[in-house]
Amino acid sequence: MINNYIELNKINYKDILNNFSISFAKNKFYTLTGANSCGKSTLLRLISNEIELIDDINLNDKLLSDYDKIDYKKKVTLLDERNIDFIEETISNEIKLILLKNNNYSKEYLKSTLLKYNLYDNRNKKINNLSLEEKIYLMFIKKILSNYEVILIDDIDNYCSETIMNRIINLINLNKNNKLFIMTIKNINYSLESDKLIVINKKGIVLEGNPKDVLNKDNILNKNGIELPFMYDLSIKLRDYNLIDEIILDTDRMIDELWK
Amino acid sequence: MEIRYKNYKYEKQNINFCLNENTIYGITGTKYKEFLSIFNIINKYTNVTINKNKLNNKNIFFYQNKITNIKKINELDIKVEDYLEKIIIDYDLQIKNINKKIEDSLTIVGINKDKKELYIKDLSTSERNLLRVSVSLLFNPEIIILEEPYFSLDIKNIKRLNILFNRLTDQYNKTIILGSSDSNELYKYTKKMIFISNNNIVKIGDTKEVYKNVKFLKDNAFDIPESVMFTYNANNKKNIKLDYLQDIRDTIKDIYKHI
Repeated sequence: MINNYIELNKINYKDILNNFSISFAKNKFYTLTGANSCGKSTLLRLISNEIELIDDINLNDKLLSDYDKIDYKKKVTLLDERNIDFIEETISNEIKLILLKNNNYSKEYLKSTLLKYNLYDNRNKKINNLSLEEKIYLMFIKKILSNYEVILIDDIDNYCSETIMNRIINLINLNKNNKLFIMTIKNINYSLESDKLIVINKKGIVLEGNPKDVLNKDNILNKNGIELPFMYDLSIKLRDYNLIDEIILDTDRMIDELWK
Repeated sequence: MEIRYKNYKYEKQNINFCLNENTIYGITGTKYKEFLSIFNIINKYTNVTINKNKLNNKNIFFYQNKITNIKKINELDIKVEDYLEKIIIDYDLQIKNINKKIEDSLTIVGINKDKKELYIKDLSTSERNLLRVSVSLLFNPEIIILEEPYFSLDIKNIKRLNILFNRLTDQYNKTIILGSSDSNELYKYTKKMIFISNNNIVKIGDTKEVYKNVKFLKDNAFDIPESVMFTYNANNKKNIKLDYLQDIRDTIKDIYKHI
């Protein structure tokens, strides 16, 4: 039995979320999508307590409103393009600061951390000179190193390249032990490495489950404003025409299968 | 309005750069995230002098009363209607019925006119993106420039926006220039493409035709649409002749013919 770590029960927020219920378990990576203005960002801002809602949001069986705000902020964090701020001038010093806060700083450990997260080559680069996606990536690493229990990530696939997104997703899956990650996405491709894909509208969950199973429901996804990635869409349609037997995402394999 | 530059030489090529009305252009750079300074390009290659007229809002550029480029609208602490009204007044746009103009400019992009009473910071990301187009239309420009126009939009809003763009070009003779790093979107939704490398124009042409030239795209590190790559690989690997098509349903029919 999965214990829900976060639960929202029939919450209402302005005209954005109506009688909305959803729950999330720890040790999992969720991707969340839906039509424009369906409340994805609002949902994450409610969970992070950036927007305050008194009733019916539970974290670890305790009402959000019963938590001390500072304690809550140590457990739950939100990463989006608005919440990007750094203290130090360089990447290296910024990471060093986190390690000092965690009482596990040493020169060797700093170096190994920078190497581990692909930051070593640019370690002396000034943070002000980083591109937005580089800043988002650095913020993400800071969040991983800061031992949050819940990391919420909103809308970053609009700003980050495929390379950076794949790196982030890989790190999420390596670090989800005893944590909970929820990421809103526009590009459905990024759901494929998550544990669960959830499609929402204002009233609640439209579809949820293993991403590959959810992506098979292309009609429902289209009705909810979600476009399937090209190879997925092509696969589903070719399968419906009995030209292939299964979903194939690799172009070369698809070509070989079609023209055997 | 036409922007024309003749006989620009790039390597051994003569490039005539001309933006005509009634067309949706796409502009893109290399896949290494080269910053697209569309105005630098227009400045460099045209005989239209562009003087940036930064009034109260550094994100709004309105040139010679003909060209708009509305950049990102942040989460501002001002009501939508007040923001739009301020633009109308600050730029002296000579609009008789301001309230109607505001409502029409919201409705046409798919934002419910009731949202004019909301604060911009309370709009969703997609609504703030659509608001950019609303602001553009207030100026009634001849050329509309939008960078990353489909940013954060779902497929319904993308289709709605494209219907609007086509109407603006076909019925109102406007020129629309869409700057994007997403080749899939540019391939589907534009009529002509301009490719830029190191702030130089390296190719201009019909979207479908230029994207067929996969070798050129690969050699210059431009992003290639997935459907183009599929067709290219299938044709090369299996010696068939699939057509380069912009709609996946047409691609399916074409595959069926060649099985």
